[in-house]
Amino acid sequence: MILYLLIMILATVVPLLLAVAFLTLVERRVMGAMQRRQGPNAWGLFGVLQPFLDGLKLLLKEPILPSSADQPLFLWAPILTFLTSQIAWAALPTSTAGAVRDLNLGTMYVLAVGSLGVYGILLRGWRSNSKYAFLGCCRSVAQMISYELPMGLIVLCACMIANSLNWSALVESQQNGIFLLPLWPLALIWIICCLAELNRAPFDLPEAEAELVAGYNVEYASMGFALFFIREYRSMIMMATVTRLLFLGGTAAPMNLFFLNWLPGSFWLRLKATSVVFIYIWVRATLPRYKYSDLMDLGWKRLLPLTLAGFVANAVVVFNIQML
Amino acid sequence: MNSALFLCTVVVLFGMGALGTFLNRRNFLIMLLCIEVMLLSVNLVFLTGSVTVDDLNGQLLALWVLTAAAAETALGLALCVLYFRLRSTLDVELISLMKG
Amino acid sequence: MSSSFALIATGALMSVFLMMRSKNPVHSVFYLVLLFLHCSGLLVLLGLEYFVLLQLLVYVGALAILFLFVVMLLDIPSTEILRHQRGTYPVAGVLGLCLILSALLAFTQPLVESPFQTSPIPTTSTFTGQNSDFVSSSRHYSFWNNYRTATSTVANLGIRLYGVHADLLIIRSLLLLVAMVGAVGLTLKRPVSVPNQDVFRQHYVDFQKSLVQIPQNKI
Repeated sequence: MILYLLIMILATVVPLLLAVAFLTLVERRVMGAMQRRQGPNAWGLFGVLQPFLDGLKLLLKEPILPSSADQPLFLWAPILTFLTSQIAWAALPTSTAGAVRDLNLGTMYVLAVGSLGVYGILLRGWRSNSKYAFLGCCRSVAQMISYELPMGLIVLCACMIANSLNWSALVESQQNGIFLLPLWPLALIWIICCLAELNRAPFDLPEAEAELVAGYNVEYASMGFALFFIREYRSMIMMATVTRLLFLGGTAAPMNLFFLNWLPGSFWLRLKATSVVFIYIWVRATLPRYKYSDLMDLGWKRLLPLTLAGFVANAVVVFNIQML
Repeated sequence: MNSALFLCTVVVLFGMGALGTFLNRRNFLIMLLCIEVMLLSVNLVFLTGSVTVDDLNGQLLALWVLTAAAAETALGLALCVLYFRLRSTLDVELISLMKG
Repeated sequence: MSSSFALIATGALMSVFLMMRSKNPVHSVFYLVLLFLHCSGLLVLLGLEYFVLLQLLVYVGALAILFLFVVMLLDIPSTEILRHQRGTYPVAGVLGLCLILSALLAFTQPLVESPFQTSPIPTTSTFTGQNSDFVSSSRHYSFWNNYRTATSTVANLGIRLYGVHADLLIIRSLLLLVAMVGAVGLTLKRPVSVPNQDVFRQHYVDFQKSLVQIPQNKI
């Protein structure tokens, strides 16, 4: 039993870390291709050694501990961000074998862990004890909690149709038709909220490189920065996974043909998640950055009322169909 | 026995929150935190009672208490911000002053 | 089972104690977050998994962040307890002792036979979440008896909230609306001198007419 659990955990964590490592490379190369230049291609065939060399560089750099910052909390902040982004994967089914622990309240668990992830950023910015890091962290936290509201509502919409909060039940109920078809406006809003939640372009003002000197990361060198970096890309993959679990059918093949079902569920999962991650990178290369006031305006005054209206409409439709 | 131990812990939590409210009179924010502790302990009492008596109404009441706590915290913090704007300090001793 | 309960309960009480003793208000709020996490652990031991996640979402994810924002953005000088306030300590000690003693006495065996017989708690005829095949005669809310096929706590809570007590839900939503509007309305300072950017008005400007030649007055 313990061995089974250990194997499931390792089977989730190890490919995930490899995926994160290669995602950094993929992002840089894809952005380069979109901008008509080449990304990193010097080390290894097509640059596959680049992420490992990046990791090696970050590992060997000297860690800087500011003397005015509070030491234990300063060191705990990157650990907390890394931890919360990892434990969210316990409830997500990454294959047809299910999640590490298929909770009956899996969707709520992922939302709750997402809320906990905000604390790592808060700690980072505040404990760095510098003005600009603190400003960056306040903006980032406000942005993240503002966009968590439409996210929660959209997840609940999908759960209403599936009549369960369980991820595997969501995947199973999409066998007759993926949720993208009825819920496509909410899927659009969902992708926008994911981008805002991940602090990615066009919502990456808190970590705007030009203005705030990488925001709340300014005091962290080497492994602290590396942990945060891994957290960001892992959250990206997690949001993509959640997107295709909610809307695109999860581990199921696109059509119920027998030869497509031979391929394992995790393959289809990865394929769909990769397409969503490609959309994230595509948006980053395309759109300019939002002003912070416009960002908050978008979240509270435009997306939240739209999501509420969509929730009510969804509830009405689901209720009427179930009454029939 | 088990639920008795739960309830004892939670009542001690409530007591510490109540004592903290009027022992910590240096800061308005600490008083708000102690009120939060008291509301949390009441929540736990309702939930423990619901499991003990096997009645779902306890969990419903816990939801209502959660709602009330959230609303009260939001308004209390808004008042805290207003008070800080007036006096530039959160010292509770100065609330009884009429000036300012 | 009881060792984990002892650990989590001790952690919760230590968190409250440290919260009240720390001089830094940000540390106090972080200890409050620890307290919320410990109480969620206590609820896990009770078996109420929905409330664990709900407390994490609402308390830790929203309320504590609200506290942290207020604490970080207001520069709170750490004040010490004034001398004349320490006169309340003996009173507080006596009252606290009474509270803890009464709690212990209420939940364990009384030392003397009391004339008041504690009656068993009357079981109300309401449907619970644990027993799904418990045939209850819910006379008041018989309309909702058709929906009693759910077995999970969340589904039962949903039926209760949105069906049986829907009026209370609407009243509570009004309470939250008042809190939200009140919090914004209390603290809103609209700066008069800041130029507001209205994108629609900017788009509406007819650029053919935006430059007008003013006839020069002979000075």
